[in-house]
Amino acid sequence: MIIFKYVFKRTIRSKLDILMILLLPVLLVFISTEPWLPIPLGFQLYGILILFISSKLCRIMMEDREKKVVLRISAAPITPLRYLVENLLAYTVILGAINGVVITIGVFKYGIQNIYPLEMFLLLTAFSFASIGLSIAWYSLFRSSDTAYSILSGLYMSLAMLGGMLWPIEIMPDIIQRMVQILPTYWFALGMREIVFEGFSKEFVFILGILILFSIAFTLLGSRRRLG
Amino acid sequence: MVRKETQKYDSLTLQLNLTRVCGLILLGVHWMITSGKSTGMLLLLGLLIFLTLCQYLPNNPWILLGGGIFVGCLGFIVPTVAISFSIPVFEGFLRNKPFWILPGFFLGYFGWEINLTLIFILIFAGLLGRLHKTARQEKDYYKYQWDRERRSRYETEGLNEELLSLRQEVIEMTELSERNRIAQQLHDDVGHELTGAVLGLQAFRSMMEDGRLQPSEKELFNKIVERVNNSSWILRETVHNMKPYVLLGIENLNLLIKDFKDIPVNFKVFGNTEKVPMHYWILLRTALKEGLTNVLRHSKASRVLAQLDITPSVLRFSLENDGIALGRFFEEGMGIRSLRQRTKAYGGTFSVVKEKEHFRLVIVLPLPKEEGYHE
Repeated sequence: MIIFKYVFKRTIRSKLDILMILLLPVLLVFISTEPWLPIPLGFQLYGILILFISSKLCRIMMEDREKKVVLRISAAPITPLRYLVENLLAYTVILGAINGVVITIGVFKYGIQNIYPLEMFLLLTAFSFASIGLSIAWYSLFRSSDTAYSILSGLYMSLAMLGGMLWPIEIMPDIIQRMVQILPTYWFALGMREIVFEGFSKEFVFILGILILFSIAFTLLGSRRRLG
Repeated sequence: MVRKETQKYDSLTLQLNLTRVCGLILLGVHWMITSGKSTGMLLLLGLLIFLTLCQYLPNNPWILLGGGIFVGCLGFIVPTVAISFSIPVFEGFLRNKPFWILPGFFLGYFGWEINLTLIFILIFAGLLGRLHKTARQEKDYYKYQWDRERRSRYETEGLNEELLSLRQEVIEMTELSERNRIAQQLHDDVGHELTGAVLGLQAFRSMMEDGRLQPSEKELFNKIVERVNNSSWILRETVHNMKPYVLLGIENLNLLIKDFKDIPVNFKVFGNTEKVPMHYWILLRTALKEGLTNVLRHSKASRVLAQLDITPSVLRFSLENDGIALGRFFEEGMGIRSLRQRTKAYGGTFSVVKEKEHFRLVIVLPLPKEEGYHE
């Protein structure tokens, strides 16, 4: 588990990383305006932040590739699959921990009846998986991490807007509503609504499944080139 | 045109992936236009994973089975997904494993809405997969042929270079050999005759000391003795200078073995080595070098036995280790192949035996028949 351990070490190497990873999510919890859903706006915005945090975390793998660290690792008795799995596991644990902290603070601030901690944790974790996969797939398209990272913010904001994380999906045309189903952000927003209006239902499990499938598909698409 | 070393995909792979992506996009568009229900997303994601796995693990039939069953099962929930079975059909025919998608087909048969258009699309997908497969087979065949041609060309070039260098070597060795022969003959025939003459003249002079020869005749006689002495001295010097300092023939092989310090080599020679032509010695020297290198590289031998048998009609050279192998056996390299071809060119036979714990190299060469030799 040496790679797993080093991902942790590298993630909290600089102050900016700690700030981005811990401080911003906690701050977002305190944004309590309720625009169209009976759930604090901070939790919806936190979804966007998950996208950015995962892209920041996955940059480690991209840098490994750029600095030829992957090449050196391949000379060690570590298979590419193990390298990928340990990296993914580390990212998941970090994001899971942040999700836990955010939900705990949310529960204390808004009360358990407004936050639905279990469903919220499941949704956020499933979305974390999907966003890690998305980041891996996105980075695999670029040779330079700077290029990938600079375009990333525009892409994620577009995904958030189209997916209905910033405003209700119903205000968009019907055809757009059908098309945006191919975005993971749509399913995250749908999951939020499902939690609020239906609770833990079949539909909610279906949404979690779709997010996990997104994660698998994106990881598969992105990992081959990265490891190759 | 020189292709980049970093090129990852050939045109056929690109075409195949484009076909897959197009299929997926078409399905997506069909889904958006017709139903737009969330189950369609499940199907699309499932198919995307299926296609990605097909790309990464092309020889795994279980992925085909899983993909087929996935679409077949989904048919029970949404009957209109039948059209998406065209993707497993395409992959099944592409991998030449259409039977692996049959379970999925039978499952879906009870759930799907089957019509003529669907059957047409499935047949078309199968044909497209088959077409890709044939193109891939052709590509593999041409690639294999190209590799063979290229290897053959490299070998020919290598042999050509070797032959050119050998030609020069043979010329030099032949010259040295000829010098050696002349020196030997001068020493053995002319030298001995001259020495005899000198001794005879000296004896004659002592006998004639008290004779009645005129002083001018004695002077003439002394001059003759001096000239013959000089000739004898010049001949000795010439023979000494002509004799090559490079060791030839069997001495050359002995020197090689003496210089090989890594493993003790037991070298036995039977028969008359003088009748072996010079170009054979060059071949034998190369074979000895190659054999010793192979033994050193591919075995943990503690002793090596080399033997040279020369009979009136053939020459047999063998080299073998004492049987302690390393476990990793050598493959015929350029050196061995070159030796084989050169032996063949001299009308001989070459064999390398690679048994479990054994390496043996044997060369048999025909010897030119001596004139007047009868068995």
